[in-house]
Parts: sequence; structure tokens; C-alpha cells
Amino acid sequence: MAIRLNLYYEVQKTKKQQQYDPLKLAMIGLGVIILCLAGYYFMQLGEATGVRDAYRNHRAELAKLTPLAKAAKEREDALSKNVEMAKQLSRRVEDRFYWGPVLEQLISTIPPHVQLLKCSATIATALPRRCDITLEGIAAGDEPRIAAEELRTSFADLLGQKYKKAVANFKSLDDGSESILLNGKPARTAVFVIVASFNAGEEPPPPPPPPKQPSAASK
Amino acid sequence: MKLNKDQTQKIILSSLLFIVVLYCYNEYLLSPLQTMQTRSKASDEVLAPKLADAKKQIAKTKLLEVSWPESELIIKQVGELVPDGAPVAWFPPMLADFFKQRGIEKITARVNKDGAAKAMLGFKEIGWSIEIPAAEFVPLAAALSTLENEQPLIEIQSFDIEANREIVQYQHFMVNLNSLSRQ
Repeated sequence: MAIRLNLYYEVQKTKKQQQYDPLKLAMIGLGVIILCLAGYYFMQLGEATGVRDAYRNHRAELAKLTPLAKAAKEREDALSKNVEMAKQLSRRVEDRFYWGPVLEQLISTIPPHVQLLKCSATIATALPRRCDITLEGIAAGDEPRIAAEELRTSFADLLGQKYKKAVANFKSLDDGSESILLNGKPARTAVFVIVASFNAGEEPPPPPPPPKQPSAASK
Repeated sequence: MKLNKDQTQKIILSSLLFIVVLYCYNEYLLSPLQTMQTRSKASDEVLAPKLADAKKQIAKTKLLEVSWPESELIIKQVGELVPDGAPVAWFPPMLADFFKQRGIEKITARVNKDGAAKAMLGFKEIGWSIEIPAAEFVPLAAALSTLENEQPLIEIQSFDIEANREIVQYQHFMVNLNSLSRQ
């Protein structure tokens, strides 16, 4: 068996030692880590710059918009007054109560043997715009009370067809002290006062519920 | 592999160097960056609602600007319905003419209330008492109905109709109405 001698042993050993020098290896490792850290740093720098730029842009935008918003607020106040006034005027014109149809209904419901002596009517300005009508009159005939009742029921029915919560009640219904000549015959009379009322507008919206009080137990 | 003294020193030196580099990196590079980012974010969060409010305000006003001409037109139209001059000078003659055209000769109109109209700047509400001593019911009811339709600024608040004792077919009328007028 041939003996092989390595005459470069020392040279190779030195070379190997140089190759695996811990300081060199550490430096390489450190270099790699520094590169990674630098990469991470630049990534963070980009993100932070983005956030800062966004903030600066928003600040600049706000500086530009603040005077505009202030002017817009002043303009809005002026315009709101006009818009509100126009709404009020429209409401004033469109939500008026028309008495014409009520008078027409009244004329159509009076029976032939009834004469109205007085009629008073009033309407409230506040919602639901309650309207009150008082009719004073005299009914004549064989059954004057029935004639007055006919007037009351037919007036209430007609009002009820058009308006909400329409009612008509007798305030008084008394036999008349005088008798009159009706178609040449004496007839009995009845004196009546009818009070009718109805809502001409919508019901006002319910008030908001009161805020809840903390209970004693929770104290 | 067995390390000699020289190699051990080098490893310790490298480790120290690594720790120093890591400390400097964190203390002088990364921390200020994160602080800046946090501050910018916090400031931006404070700014965001203000910015949104400003934009909302501008948008709201723009929307109002769109509906504003319509409101102006209504105010102008209502203003044009009111004749110039003091209402007491033109309203009673106007009513007298109106009823005269419908065969009702004698009327008296008096102011019973004069006040600024609520939320209607530049306008005032005037209450009038109209007395018609003698008129037939049906023609007067028709006249009142026409008045309501022709005069949109008038609203009848109440009325009293009483049988006339002297002339049987006539009634005595008292009408209270409100009219809108310029201040």
C-alpha cells in the first residue's frame, strides 16, 4: 500500500483557519443583518413618510376649507332664514281653512221647517286647528224637536265625511213659547242651540319622550 | 471545532459590536421614526372630523343654494300679492269693491290686530273686523268663498251671522279675518 504524504498540510490548515475566521464570519453575518435592518428601516420610513404626508395634506386642506366652511355657515344661516320664511309663507297660504264648503254644507242640511237665527264659527290657529260652530235656531212643525234633530244629525254626518273628529251636539233644545202659522195651520216650535266641532288640520306630533332618569337603585 | 483564545476574543468582540449596532439602530433610527408616525397618526385623527365637518358644511350650503331660488320666488310672489302703501288705505276699499261687485253694498272694515308675522321677516299679520249690516245668506256665503279663493293671503278666523230683526230675509254679518301685509 502506497503512503501518501501531504506536504501542504500547514498551508491548507492556515487557509482553512482563515476561511473559518469567527470575526470574518461574524462580520458577514452582521453585514447581512444590517442589510435586513436597513431594508426594514426604509420600509418603515416609507410608511411614516406616507402618514406624515397625509397629515400635512389634510392640514393644508383644512386650512383651505376652514374659511370656506365659515363663509358657507354664514351663507347657510342667511339662506336658512329665507327658506324657512318661504316655508312659512307657503304653509300660511296652503294650510288656510276654507269656510266656503262648510257654509255650503250648512245650507244643504237645513230642513224646510227650521230657521237659523244665529250662526257663530271660529277656527284655532294652532294644530289640530279645532273648528267650533254654534247654530241657534227655531224649528217648527208637528214634531219640531225631530226637525232640530234632523238638522243636528245631517250636519254632523256631512262634517264627518270631510273632517276628522266631527261632532255636533245639542247645547239646548227647548219647546218654544210661541206657536207659528205653518201652511195656514198653527204649529209648535222648538228653540235649539247646536254646537258642532271638528279638526281642520292634522294632529300635532307627539312630544319627544323625556330622558330616562337614573334609578335610585343604580345610585 | 475548538476555538482558540484569539477566536473567542473575536467572537465576543463581534457580539458586542452587534449589540451596539442593534441599540443604535433602535434608538436613533427606528424609535424616532415610530414616534413621528404615531404623532402624525394622532394629529391626523384629530384633523379628520374637523375636515369632515368642513366638507359637510360646504355640501349642506351647496344643497341649500339649489333650493334657494325656489324660496326666493315664493317670497317674491307673495310680496307681489300685497299692494304698496298702508294696508288700512287699500284693504277696506278693496273689500268694499269686491262685495259691491257681488251686490253687497255696505261694509265696514276695521283693524283689530296688527303684529309682526311669526318667522316671516318683512311681513306682518293684520286682523280685520268686517261688518256687513244687511246681506242675504247665500250670496254672502258665495262671496266669502270667492274671497277665500281669490285672495290667498286672507284667512277667515271667525264669523257671526245673526238674523236681521228688521228685514227678515237679511242677516247681519261680522267676519274676523287675517291678512298678510308687508312691514
